[in-house]
Amino acid sequence: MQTFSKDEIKRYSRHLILPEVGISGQRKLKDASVLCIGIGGLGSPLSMYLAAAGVGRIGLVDFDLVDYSNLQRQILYSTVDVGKLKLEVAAERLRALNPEVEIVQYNETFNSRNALKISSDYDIIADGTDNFPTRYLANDVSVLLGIPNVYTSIFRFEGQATVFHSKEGPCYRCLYPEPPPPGMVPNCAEGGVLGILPGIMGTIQASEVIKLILGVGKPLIGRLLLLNALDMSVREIHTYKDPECPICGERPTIHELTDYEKFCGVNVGSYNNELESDWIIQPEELASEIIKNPKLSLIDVRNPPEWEICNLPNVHLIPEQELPSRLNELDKNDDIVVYCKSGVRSSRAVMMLKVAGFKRVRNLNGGIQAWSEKVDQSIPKY
Amino acid sequence: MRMSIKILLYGNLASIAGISSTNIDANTVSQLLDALAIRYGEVFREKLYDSNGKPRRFINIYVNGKDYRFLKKSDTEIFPNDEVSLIPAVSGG
Repeated sequence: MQTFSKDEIKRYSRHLILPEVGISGQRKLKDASVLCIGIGGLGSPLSMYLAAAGVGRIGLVDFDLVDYSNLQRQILYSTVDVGKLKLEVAAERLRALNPEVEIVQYNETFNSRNALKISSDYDIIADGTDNFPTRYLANDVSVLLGIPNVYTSIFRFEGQATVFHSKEGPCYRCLYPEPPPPGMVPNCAEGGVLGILPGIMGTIQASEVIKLILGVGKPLIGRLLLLNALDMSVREIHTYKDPECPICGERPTIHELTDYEKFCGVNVGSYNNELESDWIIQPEELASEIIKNPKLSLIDVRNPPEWEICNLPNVHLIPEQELPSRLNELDKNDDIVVYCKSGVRSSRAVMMLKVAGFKRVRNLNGGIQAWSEKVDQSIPKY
Repeated sequence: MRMSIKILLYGNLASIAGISSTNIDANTVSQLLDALAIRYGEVFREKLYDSNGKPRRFINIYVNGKDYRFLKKSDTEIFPNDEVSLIPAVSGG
């Protein structure tokens, strides 16, 4: 049984005098282990509050480096940390916050090969990842190991939070049996996110973890909390265990981890797969064609706020979602090049134009980001 | 026209429609989805339905907080003052 030093008694005094926590609750926290999958926007406040609360062992899985674009919301990191390994910075920060807790670092992607092995050392996993394949993976790990998965995810101004615990309620597959087709739901890098939002949601996630450990209150099992920061509304939806769920239903067909990228239709660099090579143009080729062919028509399918950050000269701005209703602004016989930030949205736009009967349309491979890297470095990356 | 069902849109559906709450007149979930697709255009329709014309599985539809999959799916009847939420999966972190 864990005992507490004088310093720990002082450190946790505000917990210790709470009837719902007390010495016995604080002991449960010290005995507990939690795996934080991803230490970005959600994982920052999550891991900081877990460390501050005295959760005995905290595992961190991440392989990324700190980028300038993280600093608007990932509060574990400072400007001086840009370029460093997130895991190293986070572990140091959390140990400084509370040297009493053990921080375990996993400098790897969370994948089908290592996920069960890593997670089996923990009482609870907390999913703060940023992509669908890893979210399905975290779910399956939680169901197969029989441990709760405290879940939050975010989009622009909206957050979703729940606790998946298949022994007592639905799992992620009960709620969302199928992932969206690739590109159908923008992530934070594509759609933007209010920096404070992961702060709110990661803190809710930490509260749920602490409640589960303490065994107090009413966890978000079977309840999906929806928060909209724009009108600051909070709603609750009841979620149900699906008897036909392929992993936690009555006749499960999934008994081990599978290939989640395949399940989600994700394959790195695959966004151009549907386009034949003559429907794709490299940034360097475009640079020389712009000079040779004054009739070349350039279309930017990003959103206006992105256009304000950077754009190419003499370009027609038609956001992807307006394209179907604005085809009349374009000539089907024109030689057209479409671009977006990284080439994903524009590949869909090229497909749409191709289907609509446009003769010569090409996708700028890698988007304006690749243009910035390979042609004009004065264009900022965002 | 009677605009009786309250619709709450989440995620990208709200972004495309440019609105997170609206009213619409319909008797079933399938009528309601059709009416939304007509009102908010082709891109909204494409987000809502797959290539077979079925509502996409990553968008959960709740009638008064109950998942329509566990009711009568697209045939679920809806009545004046009902509240229907369309909630897509999101993955940001």
